[in-house]
Amino acid sequence: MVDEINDGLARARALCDLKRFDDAVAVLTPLIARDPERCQAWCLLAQAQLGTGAKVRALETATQAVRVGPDDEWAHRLKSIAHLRSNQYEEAIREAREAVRIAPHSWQCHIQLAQALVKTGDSYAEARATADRARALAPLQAETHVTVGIVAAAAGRRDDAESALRRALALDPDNSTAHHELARLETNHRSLANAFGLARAASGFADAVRLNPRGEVGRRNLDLVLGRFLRRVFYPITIGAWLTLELAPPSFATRLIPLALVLIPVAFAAAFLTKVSPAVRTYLWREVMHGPVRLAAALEALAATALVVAAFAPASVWAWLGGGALILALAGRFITMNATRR
Amino acid sequence: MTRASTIARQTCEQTRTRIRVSGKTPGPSLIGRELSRAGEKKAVPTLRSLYPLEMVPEDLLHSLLIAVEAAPDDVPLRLHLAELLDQHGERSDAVRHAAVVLQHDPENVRALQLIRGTTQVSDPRSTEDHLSSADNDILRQLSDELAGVLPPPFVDGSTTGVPDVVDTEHSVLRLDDVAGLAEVKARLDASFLAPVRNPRLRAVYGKSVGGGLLLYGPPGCGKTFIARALAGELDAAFLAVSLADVLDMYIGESEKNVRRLFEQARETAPCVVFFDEVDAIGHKRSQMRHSAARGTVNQLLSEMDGIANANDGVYVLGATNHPWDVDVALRRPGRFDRMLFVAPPDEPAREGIFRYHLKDRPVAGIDLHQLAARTEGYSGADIAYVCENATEAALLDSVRSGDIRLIEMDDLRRALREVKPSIGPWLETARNVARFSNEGGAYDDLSAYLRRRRLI
Repeated sequence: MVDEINDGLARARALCDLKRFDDAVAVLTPLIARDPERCQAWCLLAQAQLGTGAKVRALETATQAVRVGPDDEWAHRLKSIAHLRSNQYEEAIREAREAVRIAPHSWQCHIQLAQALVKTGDSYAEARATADRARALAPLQAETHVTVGIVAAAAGRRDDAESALRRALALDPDNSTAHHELARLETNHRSLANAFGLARAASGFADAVRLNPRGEVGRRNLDLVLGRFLRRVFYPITIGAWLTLELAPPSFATRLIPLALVLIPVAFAAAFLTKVSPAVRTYLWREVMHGPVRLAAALEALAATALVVAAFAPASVWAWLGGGALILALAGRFITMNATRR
Repeated sequence: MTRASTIARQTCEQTRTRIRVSGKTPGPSLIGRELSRAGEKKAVPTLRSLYPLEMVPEDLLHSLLIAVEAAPDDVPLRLHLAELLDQHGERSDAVRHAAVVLQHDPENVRALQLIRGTTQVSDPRSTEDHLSSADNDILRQLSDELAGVLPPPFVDGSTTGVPDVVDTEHSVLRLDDVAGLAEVKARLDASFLAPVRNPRLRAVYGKSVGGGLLLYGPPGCGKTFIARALAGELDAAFLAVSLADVLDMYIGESEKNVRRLFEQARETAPCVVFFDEVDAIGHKRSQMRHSAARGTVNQLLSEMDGIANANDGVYVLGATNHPWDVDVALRRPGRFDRMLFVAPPDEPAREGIFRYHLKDRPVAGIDLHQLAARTEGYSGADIAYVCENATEAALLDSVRSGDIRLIEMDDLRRALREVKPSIGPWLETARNVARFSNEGGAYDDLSAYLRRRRLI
């Protein structure tokens, strides 16, 4: 019987590795029924339940694992993760501290404690120290560098965060979390006009999705970045249309203003598109041509055309063109905001 | 039990024989207290010494047969009967009973001796002289009966005592049995079957049949069925391998299982080795941190390369729902270098699947064409579930009303409203893959399918 249970645990472990959490739960449930005092089985079940997203059940299972194996660091670590997923930060910290106490040389325990501490938002110093300790214990593990990066980013130390995340990628180029966090850094930091930063962010999120196609967060963040790009492209057109309306009747100099305000988004878009990865370019093209923003794109294109025409049109139609462009641009902007914040 | 031991005891008393009770028993009660009495337990000479061959009484045999029938699990009793039969010259029956003893107690030395003594292959020159055709028949019959019990008499040094990793099957399916999916079949024919079937043309064009074919697509869409059909088309043995067949908790054992599997395949060539859920066996090693499955990928690579052994006649097929989780090394040339997308069933396929699942059920007025048209995006498994639901509804209705009624279109329509396509989550992931992971065009057919369905 012992061999059968060990065999089942090995299978469940493999299934968890394969991210087949539902299958792992199916394997583990009868094993636990046969031997309810196996801490490893409870831990694996909690891990599988966390994988399926059943955080309440995972917390119950992890609690059971701690009861069966009070000196098992994994049980405490899993309980801490389950608390964290349930936004119970104090409890998560308490369990992570217990895990660290049991296994002070385990880098995973330190990582868990650092991640729990950073969530509370008022223990950055301790979180940083804990993350550094994890990195010292396992300097070749990409995860420790990722944690250092996350903690540094949360504390607003952008350069430290970037350097740690780049180190993680040097160790494991396929680490989707590192790609994702680096992309997040780009979106949080760059100025409005920085098309290259936005392009790097979009490419980073696309890489994260490529490496972990099941991760929907990366896809959603990519959509948000592309939405931000479109809004930044459309914004000068709206301003240009408003100025055109305001500056009637036009002089030679004022005729150049709408033209310039059309050229700004063109330059911005060109910069973005040259820097972004081909996969993102294709994705953006399809979204603009077939997605929910296609109407907005069409309206903004019409508005831009009206502004260009206004630059060379007789003064009598200047205000009409400006007004029409403003209506089109505002409508496009409204649609874009709704579509890209879904 | 009581009846059996009473009969046995009476038998002993009748023949004034004492039975030496030895060996294991599944339960102490099986032998019976009467038989375990001190007097009867005393060491006694064997029956062979008590009765010369011609002197084994018929009534003793008869009584013992009744006793064994009454207590089929009583090992000592059956062994005793086998010995007696052997002495009586009923070798076929003796071996049959000894074989049953071995099934209960594989270590039973006496039963093994009995079988070996009876089935021993002596010098062929002498047997030719002495064995009549009737004896030959008995031997053949015995060999057949004992195939699963006895170890093989002659073995190859490399496979001594090593059990097969998986059962060898012979598929009778053909690609024509796969409903619809004309495009998939055409591609299978071009990329796999045509080169295998035409060795001369293959030689002319310098085309190798090495490497494997990876079938991928959403779950429940017939990848395994197609693999069986391919094996049937090639008239090859079929070895279906899953993670459970390979994975072993002990270090090194999983790798050994993979090696043994390919040895088995080479021995049974032509053979199709089919790895179901190949992403489980050949998962990205970078993501396998804790499990025993990690080392299997290296072994699989080595076996597929056929470095140590030629893989002539061994065709490797894989199926997976998650090709993006398969280790990149496994998708290089010479391994799973051809990938084929098995899309959810098209309309003709869905019609065929509905027909298959309803053909043995009491149905009336079923419009298969309409059903197929309404189930775009359903997998084969979903359609099976729809049919099951409709059947349940009709059955329940019949139970309630007391009148048996046929399964009608309304039942299936209702079932269709309840059962939704299950491949949604898979398509979500597939969209991400088609958008961001299609470097080199590995997923071109998937992208084309998603575009056709306006999913990307």
